[in-house]
Amino acid sequence: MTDVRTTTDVNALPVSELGELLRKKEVSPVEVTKSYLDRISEYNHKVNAYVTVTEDEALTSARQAEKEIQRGDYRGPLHGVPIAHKDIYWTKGVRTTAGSRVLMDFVPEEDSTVVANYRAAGTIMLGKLNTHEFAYGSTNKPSAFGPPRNPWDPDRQTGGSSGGSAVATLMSMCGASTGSDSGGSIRMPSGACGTVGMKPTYGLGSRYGVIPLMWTMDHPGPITRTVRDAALMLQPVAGYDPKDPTTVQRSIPDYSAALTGDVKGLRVGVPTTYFYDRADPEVDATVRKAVEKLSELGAEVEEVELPYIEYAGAASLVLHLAEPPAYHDDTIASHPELFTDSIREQIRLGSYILAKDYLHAQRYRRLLGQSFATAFKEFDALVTPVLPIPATRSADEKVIVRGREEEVFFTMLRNTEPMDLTGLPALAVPCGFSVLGLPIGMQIVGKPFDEETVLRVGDAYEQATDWHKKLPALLDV
Amino acid sequence: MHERKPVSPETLEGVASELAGLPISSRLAGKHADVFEPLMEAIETLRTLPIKEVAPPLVFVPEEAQDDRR
Repeated sequence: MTDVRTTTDVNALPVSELGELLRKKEVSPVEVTKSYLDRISEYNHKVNAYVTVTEDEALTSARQAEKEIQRGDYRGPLHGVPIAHKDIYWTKGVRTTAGSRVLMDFVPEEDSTVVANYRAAGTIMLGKLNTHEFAYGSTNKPSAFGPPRNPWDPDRQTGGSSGGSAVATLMSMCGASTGSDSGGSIRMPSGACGTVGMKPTYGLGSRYGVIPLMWTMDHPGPITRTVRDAALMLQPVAGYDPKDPTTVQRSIPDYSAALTGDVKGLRVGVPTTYFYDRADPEVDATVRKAVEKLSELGAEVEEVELPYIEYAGAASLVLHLAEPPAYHDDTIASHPELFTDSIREQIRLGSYILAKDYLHAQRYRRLLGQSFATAFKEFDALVTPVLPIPATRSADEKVIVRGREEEVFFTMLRNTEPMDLTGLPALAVPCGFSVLGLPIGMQIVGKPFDEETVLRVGDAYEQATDWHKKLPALLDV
Repeated sequence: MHERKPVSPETLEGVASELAGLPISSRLAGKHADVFEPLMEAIETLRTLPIKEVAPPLVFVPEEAQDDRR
């Protein structure tokens, strides 16, 4: 591990600082974009984060942004900032593969709403990022392009499904990135790679033009290097979209304005079961230290019970087995050979799920939602480990946690999937490292549509610590 | 009270072929049964939840053309 980020390269700056330099015309979008493209050339063969690099388009957009900023047509804090998109977001004229041979030649004719919003905000698109095939998993290992590699230890998995996004963001191969989250796919790779990942409330962001995994659980959201950047990157995601009927019509706050740094008197709940007691002891201890830090900053911390939380894995399992196969029903019948082996078999298993079990799982979501809603009468936020374990070796399918052998695939999902079942906003924030030098992260959960509190807690913690400034030795800055 | 028999390869082979329209080999059905039985043990716990009066959060809204909306 290299200590604190010290490079003077613009690509190492948080988006919040880079955006300011761009606004003041102290740096050019073209210079910044070239710096990121150089970074991609230098590192992508080592980490396999990008599956498509849009160099020409990026430089064209950068020149356009430069002209606009020079003449005073300033679009906001993301104007001229290079970002990249998970390869399940439609990008007009740029292939969108979902990490699968099924879509290897698919070129969308329009942008997804989220991508269009980011373009309108003035961002520069550097390219498309590696994903677990069709976002259907927690490790990013099955991908038509091969898995990305964890920069902290290239023999370890990155977490998924937005593994490419987390790796590219950590490695300063983009300013920030988009991911998607249906069981934890923004937060799991953020936890495994040491980035910040924001899953907003279900319905806050449009899923139009995002290749679906699960209609009732998909959430678009950003992966960034800081919480302040997450607030900036959340802004274009949030808002009603008539093309996505699940989006809600409500006024959208300025998320950056919520970052006051003040958590005095904020009531923080620590669940008594499920999240900590089933986590690796090192993870448990590290996240509890992070909670102590919140207490030192003035938050009031107490334990909280969440009835029925222990059924979250079973319910999530049913939904994960039932919904994606419905979407892929035609392709699995006509071209099963185009899927990776594991995804093909996952899709086939969906044939065996009974409708009544699917509906039991959906009804459970209300039950669990009631448990959280009751907790949120007494608390403003809940804090848990984001992953029960640090990143495992890529070759390992099983892991021992507190003396029990578990499947890595399901263990990775355990702490994040309840927030997809309930649709609650949840933020992954780095809070330490294991003895082997692997990132450990905490998860901050809020009330529906209270992303502001979640971000405020995360930002206050981040301002008081240095974890987000650590870099893997691979970066060699 | 539900009483479920363990999943058999024959059942899964029949479901895949006769209901899903995605036929699989007997060998693959065996593999699926090995994987799916522990999954069913987890899934069937949902059948014991106190959700009699809990409706699924699946909302249906009749489709209307944009210009019909007021």
